[in-house]
Amino acid sequence: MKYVDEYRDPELARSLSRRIAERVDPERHYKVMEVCGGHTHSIYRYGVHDYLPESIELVHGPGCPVCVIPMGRIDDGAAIAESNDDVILACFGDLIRVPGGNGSFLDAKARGADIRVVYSPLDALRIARENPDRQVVFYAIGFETTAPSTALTLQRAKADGTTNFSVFCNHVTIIPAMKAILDSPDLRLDAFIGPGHVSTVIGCRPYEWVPRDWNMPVVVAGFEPIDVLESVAMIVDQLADGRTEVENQYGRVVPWEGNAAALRCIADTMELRPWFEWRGLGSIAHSALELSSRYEDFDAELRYAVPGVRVADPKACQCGEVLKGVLKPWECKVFGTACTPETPIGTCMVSSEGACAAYYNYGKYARQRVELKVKA
Amino acid sequence: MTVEVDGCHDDVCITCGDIALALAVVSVDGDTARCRDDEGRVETVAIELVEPVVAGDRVLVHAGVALVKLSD
Repeated sequence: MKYVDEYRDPELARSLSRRIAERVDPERHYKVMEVCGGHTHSIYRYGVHDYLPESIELVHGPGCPVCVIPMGRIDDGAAIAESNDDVILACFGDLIRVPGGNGSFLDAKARGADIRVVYSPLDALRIARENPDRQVVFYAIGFETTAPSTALTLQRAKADGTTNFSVFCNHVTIIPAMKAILDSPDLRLDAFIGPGHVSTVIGCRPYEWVPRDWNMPVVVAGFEPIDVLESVAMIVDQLADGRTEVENQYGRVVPWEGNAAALRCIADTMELRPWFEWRGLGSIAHSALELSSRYEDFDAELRYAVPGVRVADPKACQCGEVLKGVLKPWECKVFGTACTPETPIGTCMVSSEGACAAYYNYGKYARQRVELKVKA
Repeated sequence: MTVEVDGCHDDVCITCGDIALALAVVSVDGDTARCRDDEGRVETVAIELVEPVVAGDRVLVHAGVALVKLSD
């Protein structure tokens, strides 16, 4: 399979494993954070840890958009659907089981709300066009990878004069989250594995402050196991050479400058919020997007009353520490017992990209782990 | 755990994560293209953000929108 098989080659994995082992400082412990949940999923799915020396610790970051959504925002979406009989709430599949303070969207659907899973915001717009007597609210979530699809949908809706479509915007941006992690006193990192597909949109330049201000490498990486291993090798090379810079391991996909058309599309339809609450990280300034004034007619937060209540996480849940990389999934008190993919308490167990779900499915519990053909 | 919906490929829900898929463009009609993945599944993709695109190109697609035109 093009772009896949060559990045799952066990011989190449062994070669990278040897390269990493030869270049690590035996006296040093390396903490490398993979920002993106897609990387976390790949690391556990393919057992990437098995190819790394013990001195390299992969720390899971906050880059699963479902995992960082605060419970109160789930309640807000459910309230729009349950308080307005004409509303169809459209959301992505991963979101429907995320628990809010008043249950999940699936629970709200069971109570009678019209909540539908869509693959794309463009599908939500199509539902609006097919149901002119209903109001369709798209529950937008995701990092810069997903924001262009919402932005493009808004432009299409405005262009054709659609009036029964709006967006409840929860899009977040990755750079402020990385800054919050580095500012956290709980964690000392040595490098970042940068998010691959977010970077197709924003490019690699937005990470340049990391080596400049923190003297720390960033390697933007793809999602196959060889991609992750090669990015670790590039990080170890940088540190061994005394260099710290932004490098692009995923050059076959990520343009250094990103996608200017996508960035313009986002800038036309959205603007930065002053503050947004992240699960586990707290409120972070300028870390999320809301609809721009040009698109206020499509803003569900202006169109509908929402509770807007901050809901504290369940006491037993330690998603916050997991999202900051302070705790490993298995160190959470309820991991694998009260909290499982079938009965999630925390968001990290809901999304397939959440660190807890990934570890539960592919790690110690090894229900579905995919091995490379030959182990190192 | 992934809720099964149309458009979810493999066991990763591509809808809201950072995961996108490489698809081959089969045909182009204005701002949309019919695209096929390596297993023959076809979907409609918005291509405004990567134009110009022609049949035979490969594009990286997330949530129904092409984000990058891939070079061979």
